Amino acid sequence: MKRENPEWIRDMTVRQSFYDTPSPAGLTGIKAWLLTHDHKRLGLMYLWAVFFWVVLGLFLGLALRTELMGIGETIMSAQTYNSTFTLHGVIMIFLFMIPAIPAIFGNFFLPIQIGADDVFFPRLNLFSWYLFMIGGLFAIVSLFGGEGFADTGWTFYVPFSVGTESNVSMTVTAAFILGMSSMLTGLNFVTTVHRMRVKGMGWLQIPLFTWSLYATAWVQILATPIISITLILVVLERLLNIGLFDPDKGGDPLLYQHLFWMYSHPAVYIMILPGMGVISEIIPVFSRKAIFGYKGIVVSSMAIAIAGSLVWAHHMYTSGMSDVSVFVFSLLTYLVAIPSAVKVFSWLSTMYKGSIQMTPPLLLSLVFIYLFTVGGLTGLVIGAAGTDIHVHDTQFIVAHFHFTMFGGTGFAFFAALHYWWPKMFGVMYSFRPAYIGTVLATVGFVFHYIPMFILGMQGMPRRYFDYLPQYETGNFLAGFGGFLMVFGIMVMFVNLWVSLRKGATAADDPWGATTLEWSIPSPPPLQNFIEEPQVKDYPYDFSDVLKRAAKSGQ
Amino acid sequence: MNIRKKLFAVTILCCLLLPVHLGAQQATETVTADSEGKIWVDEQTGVSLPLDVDFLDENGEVVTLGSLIDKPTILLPIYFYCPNSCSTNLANLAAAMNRMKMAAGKDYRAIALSFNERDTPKDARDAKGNYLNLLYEGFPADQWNFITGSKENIATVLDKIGYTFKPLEDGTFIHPSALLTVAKNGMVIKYVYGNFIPGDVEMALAEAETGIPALSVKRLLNFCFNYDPDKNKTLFEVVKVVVLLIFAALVVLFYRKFINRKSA
Repeated sequence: MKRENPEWIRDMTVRQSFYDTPSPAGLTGIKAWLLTHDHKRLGLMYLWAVFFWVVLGLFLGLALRTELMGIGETIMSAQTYNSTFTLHGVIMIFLFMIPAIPAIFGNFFLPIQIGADDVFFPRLNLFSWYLFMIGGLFAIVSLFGGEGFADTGWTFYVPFSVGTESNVSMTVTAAFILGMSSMLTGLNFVTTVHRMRVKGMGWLQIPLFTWSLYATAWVQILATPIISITLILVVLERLLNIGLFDPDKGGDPLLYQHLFWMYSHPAVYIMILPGMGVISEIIPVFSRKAIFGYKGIVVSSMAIAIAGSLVWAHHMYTSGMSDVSVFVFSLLTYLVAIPSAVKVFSWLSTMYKGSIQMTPPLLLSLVFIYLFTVGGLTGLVIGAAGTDIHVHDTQFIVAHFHFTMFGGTGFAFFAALHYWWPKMFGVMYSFRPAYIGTVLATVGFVFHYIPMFILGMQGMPRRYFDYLPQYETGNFLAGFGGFLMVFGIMVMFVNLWVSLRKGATAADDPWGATTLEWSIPSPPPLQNFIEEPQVKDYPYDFSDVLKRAAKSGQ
Repeated sequence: MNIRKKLFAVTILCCLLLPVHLGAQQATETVTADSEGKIWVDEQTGVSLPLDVDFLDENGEVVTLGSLIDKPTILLPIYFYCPNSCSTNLANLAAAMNRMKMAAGKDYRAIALSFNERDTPKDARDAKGNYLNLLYEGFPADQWNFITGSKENIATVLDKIGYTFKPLEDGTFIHPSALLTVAKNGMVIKYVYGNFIPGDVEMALAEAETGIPALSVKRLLNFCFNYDPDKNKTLFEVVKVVVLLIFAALVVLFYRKFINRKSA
């Protein structure tokens, strides 16, 4: 005989988190994860995979800088060094920077922020995760199989990538599969944003993190096929010797570079835009103030996505393009600085006269703004064709892109982790180690990369496992910064890990935030929303939060 | 699928294949020499240069590589009379030498070796005059030699260092931009690619000083070659038209489908 559950039991079931909701028969244990269609579980599966890669990539990078601390061969040979920096680049770009924020936090929070119960194509979402894992597996296999890992750098420039005996085909295939995964995730997000928004949520009620993911997703969909085709051409070239890039057979060696950067420069915006979205969420929450220039930030996200897709050839100033092209690409590159600056000024204006509450996510966001601004400003030095020639292919470039990618996307990723951790796991980490880790990582970062700017200005080329005596001091000192930085990051990670076992239970809305994910229990229930989500006219309306705070006497 | 749809699909496929077909025809016309499986620069670090082969320097005097190489040396294979693109290699090298901390004459010397047997000492002299103008005041002129030689002698050296170039019918060449550094005893030490940034060249010279062959940094291999931007214009026009046609066809298809669904 069927009986209605009493009220309190029903209440218990609906408040049950997605971890505790019993899986259907046949989908228990590990299968509940490996065959899941739940966007939250997939987000977490990405999280663990990305954790693995980022730690591996960090230590590879540290090994490179350790080699460079002393002149001559210290811990690895020249060939190993070449393969190691290629591997470091491939891991950090394809397995960390590109998937990190969209695949983890995008999967987890995009549907919740727009009041949906899942993404539009849940099965495709699972498939993307498998592609991501297979791509990573290929990268590892190519490390050990055949003639060893590619030594061409992550750019796989022809004709080296065609001529070299190392395992370029396999590495390139790995990058191809990872590109597919990224593209399908983008497709899923665009569709979800268009079709799954809760009733009452118009385009200008969408939270900024989701907006940034939406802009990113378009770049992923439109730019990724280009790299996929290019990588296939490299493989074909290796196997069939067609001569697409060989001037002797009527091919054009510049063509490869154009095709490669046509994706890879927009990819830089695939990496940074979601990071900017994270910061746009965190800053207003801890300033207790509506974000300054919501529409401005939305428009600038789209502007970065569009303008950023048109600047690829600024990587090729010295490769023999016509002067007209150099001029046009230089100008376009400068244009991208405008929407980026709009965002930075919006964040600063949001904090102005806000009641700022310091927390680890806010500290990390402030570090992001500082490091990203330095990265952006040094970008202008190399964006201008005239000054670029002096620092082209030197350590200056290495320092610049680490400031933007690591100081930017990397720290935004850390900020996102600390901001959404209580929501994802229902536990709160302790703040003290988080602050200590952040400060160590930041100080280490500055001491690690500033010497590289100076070394680059002095003329030290990049990609060398050895250098001339005049560069020794700088390289030696940079090494210490590197160790400090990695130590700081490890402190952050360990602190988060410890919180899973020992952390205090987190409230539904521990920060006093306004977007929809904070209106539901932590961790979220299986269907995300227990009751119909209430969409505010303006997503960053803090009047309720302030009222609640006044009532509790804070 | 009915006949009309089949026909439509076949037409589109044919349209897609048309430019490929045209391109193939044009490509076969341009390829003149057999070049299957050729590697442009096949690094031969550790081998010794043929030091006793005769060349002529810019003054028309007979020299050998052995008589020139008395310290770490930059060797740049190039040709001196080039209508447009090739001057960049020599100019890049000059720019690099300007910014290097090492001093020509004291730490190194440079040799530009012409692989065009039709280059004469006069061409070499003219070229040298041009590029010395780019260098700093007081650059020792005798430390940068521009040498020319016979076809056989050129081949002897270039085969030894694994450097391939290809003469074209108009008297120009396709060739990679690469230089190499050589130790005092004539041993090939390191290859440098790309735009010869000063740090790269200095590092390679420092390694030549130690005399131990070193692994190159493979960042970018540029090529010098002439091309006529108008040559394949028809091909690109055809591609443009075909792409537009395909888009138009797709729009029509979507439109019809949409209308059909609406009316149904």
